[in-house]
Amino acid sequence: MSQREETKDAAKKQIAFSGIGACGPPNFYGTQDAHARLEEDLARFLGAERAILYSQDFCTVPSVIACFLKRGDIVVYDSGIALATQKGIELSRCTAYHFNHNDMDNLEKVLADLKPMLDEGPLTRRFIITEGLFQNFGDSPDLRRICELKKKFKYRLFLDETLSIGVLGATGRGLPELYGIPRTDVEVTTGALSYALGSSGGFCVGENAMVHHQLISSSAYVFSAAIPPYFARVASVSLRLLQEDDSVSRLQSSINFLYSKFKECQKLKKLVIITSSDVSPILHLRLHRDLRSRLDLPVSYGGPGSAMEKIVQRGDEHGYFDENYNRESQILQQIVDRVLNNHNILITRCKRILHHEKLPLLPELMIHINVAFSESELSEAFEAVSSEIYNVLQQL
Amino acid sequence: MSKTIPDALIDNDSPQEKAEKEFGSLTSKEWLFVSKHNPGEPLPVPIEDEPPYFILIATYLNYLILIIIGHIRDFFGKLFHPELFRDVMVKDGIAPWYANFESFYTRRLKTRLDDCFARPICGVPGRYIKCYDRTSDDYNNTYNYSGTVTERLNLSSYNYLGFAQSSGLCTSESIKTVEKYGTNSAGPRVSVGTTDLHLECEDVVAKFTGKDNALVFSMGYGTNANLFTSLVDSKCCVISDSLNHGSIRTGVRLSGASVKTFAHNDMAALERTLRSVISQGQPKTHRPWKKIFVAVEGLYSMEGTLCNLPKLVELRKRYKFYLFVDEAHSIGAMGPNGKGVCDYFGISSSNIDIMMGTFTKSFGATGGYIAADKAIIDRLKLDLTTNTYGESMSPAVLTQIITSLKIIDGQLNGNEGKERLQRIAFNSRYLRLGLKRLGFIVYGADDSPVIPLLLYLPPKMPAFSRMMYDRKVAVVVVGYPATDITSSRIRFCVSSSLKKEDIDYLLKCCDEIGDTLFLKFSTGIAGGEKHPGDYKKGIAPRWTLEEVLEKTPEDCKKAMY
Repeated sequence: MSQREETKDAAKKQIAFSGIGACGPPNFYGTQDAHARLEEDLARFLGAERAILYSQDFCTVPSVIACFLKRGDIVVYDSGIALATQKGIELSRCTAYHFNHNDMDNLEKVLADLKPMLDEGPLTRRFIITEGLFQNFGDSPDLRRICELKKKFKYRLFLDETLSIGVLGATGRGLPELYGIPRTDVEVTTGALSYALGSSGGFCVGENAMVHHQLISSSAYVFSAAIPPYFARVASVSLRLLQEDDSVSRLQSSINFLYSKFKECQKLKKLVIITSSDVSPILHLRLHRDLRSRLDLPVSYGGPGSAMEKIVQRGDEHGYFDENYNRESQILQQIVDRVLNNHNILITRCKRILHHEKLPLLPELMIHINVAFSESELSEAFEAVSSEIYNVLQQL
Repeated sequence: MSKTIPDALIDNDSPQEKAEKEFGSLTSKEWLFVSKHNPGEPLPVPIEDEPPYFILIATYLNYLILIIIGHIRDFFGKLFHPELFRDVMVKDGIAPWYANFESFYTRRLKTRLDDCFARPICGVPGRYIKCYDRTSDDYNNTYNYSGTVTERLNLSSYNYLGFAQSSGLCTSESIKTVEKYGTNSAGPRVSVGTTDLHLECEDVVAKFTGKDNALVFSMGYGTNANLFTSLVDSKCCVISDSLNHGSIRTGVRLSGASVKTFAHNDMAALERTLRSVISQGQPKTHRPWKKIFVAVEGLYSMEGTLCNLPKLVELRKRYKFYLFVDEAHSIGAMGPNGKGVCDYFGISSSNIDIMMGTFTKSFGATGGYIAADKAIIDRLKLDLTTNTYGESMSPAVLTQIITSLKIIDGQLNGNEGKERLQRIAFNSRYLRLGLKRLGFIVYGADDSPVIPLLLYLPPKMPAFSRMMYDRKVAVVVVGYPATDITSSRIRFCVSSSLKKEDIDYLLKCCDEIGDTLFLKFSTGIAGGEKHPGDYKKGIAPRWTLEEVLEKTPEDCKKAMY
């Protein structure tokens, strides 16, 4: 979206009308007509009552979580959530429990175990937090099952759709569309304008009362300047384009094409595994379990109870460097470099800071798919990436 | 009439008229002033004037009545109109979004003056601001918009140097950047989100602040909120000014470090805290701290006060702590060269370990930066979460920053940057002295572009704001919880885009409203007397408007406060 003529024109027009900065927080003369339009557009597009805009994707989730969850409230989260959500839970100081990544039976068990204890105490706010498209895995949870569970156990659902808005579902309306569930069943949805919408910033949608409370209680909204009006205009135009043309379906077929190529590739079977789903625009590739055990690499890095957690608690900065994590990342970087140098194709690997992460993680190769890629370009990319993966990993 | 904010109307102004409304031209060379603190002189302690006791008593009484009536209304409301209280009631066994007491202030006090907040605008927030006309017939729950706008004098936007413009070098360069780079920069910095513009911008910022290296981020709040987790941990201590911005408090809270606060700008209290922190060490174990940080702001946005940098630097030398200065409001706005508090006090920036600032205020852009020594920045590049996980700055915003910084620095457009700096210094001093002479209680340092005018009583907030609004001036009102409960205030943000005549008009409006609302109760302790020494004789300054307008423009350039 950021390279389309329509969005560029809208940006140029808006800059010529209102300059770059909004020069003030939204509560003090920082709200312009462009912001109001985008809030309406987002709410309408996603089928929610109201939307609110934030200035940065990474700050949106922590601020929204800390706005509603206080000490004593309960949150049950997926153990694969991204760092922003982890920070939000930490910031809110609520009581947090986790369930195994995308394991709905485990979620049910956690909720059932908590029930007797919660029934005794006062009625607190209770949230289930998960992601529409996991930033760390590229897969999605079973939303239907989560909705059933949250209704059964009286929880609210907090869905972080940072990556999935504009991508999942037939028209890009996110995970609920994929499952045919109305958006109103998801109490809080957060998302980013900076990925599929080609703009910058974040947002939160949901019912009126929830959004209204954020207007004076959410610190990243209250203490920050509003986003530049041209960001808002660009996102509005992107939303319109998403609805007018077939970008989403073309992207989905590209994803499918590349995904099936990697899935069916025999020579990579023993070397890498794909963790992302067949609808994710980012293909996540990890080293195969067998290969990793052959290389004496641990099952995962960090996480609760790990050596890294203790090091961080001790504040021993020298221990932040993990030799194995670095070695594995370096293997992946070799592949990235070779693909770039030999084939002029830029892929990337995940970059995460081990000592900030509270949950276990593994290095990955990431291939971002853009709607503008043609099938031949994707085939060429597949050939290049698969051959370099083979070349690098076969030598180990 | 529509319930939603209408689209912007096409304006019929000629380009010259439009430019004049965004940035007023200078009427006389006399209305310029270079703001600078004389090194060697001690920092004048900002004197806070006290209102008469009956004002304070009336303020508490006001809140008491508001709270009692609020509770009565809540009680009967829940009895007779439960449908209005759906948001704070338990529904289907699910707890409400927020508890009753959490929303009491919002529902019962803030809603009544909601029309003074979040007034929607369109176009450039320059010298004039276009506010949509709106009315409410359900006590500010919803608004009706007629679709028209009214242009109002802008004392509310953070537009210190007047770079909010829709024409001129900054804007045309930014538009070119959109064409070349697109509308965003597609990812976090450490993935593919770094462009040559980011590197250039960091270079320009580093040179401007006088540090080795800098990092830029797409959000000012986010810069602080995610910085401290990479600087300090539970074995460290952060000593923080009691009025530090919410972003610093969020950041420190996330880091898990011990926090000690000292009374706002009280250097003796800071020294006491330092001595006890250093001598006592970590709690329980009494081991020495790994690091001690002192976090202050350069210019406090609600008080208009400056940090006492000379004293802080002296303390830093003696006690060997790390100094963090948040220059969100002072960078670009203070000092003869616009380089913030260091420039203003004539102190080398090598005395500050971490300099943080934002681009929203003086540069008409958005985002924040951190400038420090190379070793620190190199480490932060790998360690900062914003750099690795957050989106990077948008290209057009970077161009705006680079261009405006170069203008301030004199590398572009010749003398324009200097003139902007001297205009804001004059405007700030003129307005502040004028208000003091009229008899208002005004806080803050002489040269600060943030001028809070104290109202005390909460009902005067909406009254002042609406009366100003009717006189075509847009101002910001601030009350609890952003300030102390008794010190509700109006905050004027002065800009170099304002002309001297605009400030004359503003003083006239304040004079009228001050008489109507009974706001002139200063004692003269903070300055503004007719004759030096009046305060000691018990004579409070009450100049007439004519006297103020005649004498103040000249007097404000002298050290007369």
